[in-house]
Amino acid sequence: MITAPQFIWDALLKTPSVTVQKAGKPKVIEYKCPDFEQVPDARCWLCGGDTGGIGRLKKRHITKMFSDTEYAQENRSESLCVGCGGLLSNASMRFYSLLATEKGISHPTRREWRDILLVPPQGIWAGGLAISCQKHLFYRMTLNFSAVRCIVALEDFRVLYQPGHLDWLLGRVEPMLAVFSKEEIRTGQYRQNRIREYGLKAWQKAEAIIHPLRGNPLLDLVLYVAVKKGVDADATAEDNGRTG
Amino acid sequence: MQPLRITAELAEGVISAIDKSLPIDGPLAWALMRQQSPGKMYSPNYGTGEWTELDMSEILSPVTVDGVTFNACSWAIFEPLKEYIKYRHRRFDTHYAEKYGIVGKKGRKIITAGGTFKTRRIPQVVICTEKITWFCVGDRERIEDLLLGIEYLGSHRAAGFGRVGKWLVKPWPHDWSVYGPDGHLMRAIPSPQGDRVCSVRPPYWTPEKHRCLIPDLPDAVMEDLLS
Repeated sequence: MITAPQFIWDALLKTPSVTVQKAGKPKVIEYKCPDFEQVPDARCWLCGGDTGGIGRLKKRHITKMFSDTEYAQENRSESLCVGCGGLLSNASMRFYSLLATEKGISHPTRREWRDILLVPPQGIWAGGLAISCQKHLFYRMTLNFSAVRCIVALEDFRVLYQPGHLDWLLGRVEPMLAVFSKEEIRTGQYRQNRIREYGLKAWQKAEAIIHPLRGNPLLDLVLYVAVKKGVDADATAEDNGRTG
Repeated sequence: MQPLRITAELAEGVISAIDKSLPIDGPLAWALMRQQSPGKMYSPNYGTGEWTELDMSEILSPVTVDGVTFNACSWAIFEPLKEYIKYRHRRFDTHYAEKYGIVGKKGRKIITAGGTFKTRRIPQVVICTEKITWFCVGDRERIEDLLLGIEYLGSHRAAGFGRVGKWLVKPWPHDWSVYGPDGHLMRAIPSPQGDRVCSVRPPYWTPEKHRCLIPDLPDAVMEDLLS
């Protein structure tokens, strides 16, 4: 069975050159294919997938400073498969959100993520949404085979969602962004003058939906992709100039 | 072998779980392994050998679908009253390390700024629920015997999550281990049309995974099963 990193690597080979928008300007990222070698283990240390005898040795990438050892699927192995080895060789991969489909990879912006999550790609796909833009996402991601129930990696969490339900939640949360900040909605610590401005009954109605979700990664996903009407999501201060 | 309904009443009503599948054959396999060969449980060669050769056919009825054999038991059925993220803080215990000579006088140096021993703030998903129910087909006496040794469920058990107050096992008139009322899927089954890749038999953390159909019980059916 192909693993998520192996699928992402296959997709990357189809589109080794990806254009991203950074600070409003297009930037082309060229991903490179490292030299692969014979490896002794049948399973990959990181993803647990079949190596087929080819990949990269673990010691080339997994140093003593590698902190995500709990994601390792096959602790006894000293080898990385072609997918994990290739993706770890491309350090710039961790700076961006990642969408891998059967056609290739892309680094969508927040606004693009909103549309992607609501209408997921056909066929097999995997998605990872970067918040810190400092962590590799590919071994946190899960393969999706359907567009009905999907799993995306939101930084450290795997969030299970249904596009219809997500659309319904966005319909409740996005009107609130006209008055409240995302942090207020996320924490539940609203400013009282803003509650008055929004209307007490309307706020109570919205809060009845949001309150049970508070603390759930699904609400974080909703707030990540929610767009304030009339404002470009990628130009907000909360994005901090990043595409992820 | 007979259809059974197993219920775990949680002592504190909180459980930490990465996903909500929590199949009962996982803890039963753990308890069986502990009974049969406790010395091998903490072997560094986990993942192959002893674990994958664990024979549970006398405890749970084996089912074969699409060429893959798994145990006749459902995924966990429960009503999450609240779900939230709790952060666990992990820090290298310097005092302990010095006491046992791991670092310090012998001159060994442990890197705590990065790597395996890095101080970390780890998020974990916590689910509040009163009880968890499973349906299975198996040997009641053997299952009750194994359940006696299972005191905690889910992850982060050492932190107190998932403590079981009481186990209830009773015969059930229907076999709802794989398919439930009205033909609803009760657990993941291997299928080329599956919508997720997951394990179907213990130990669930091994890399052996299959493309599976995933259960999606309507709320009304869930309420019926829990009543």
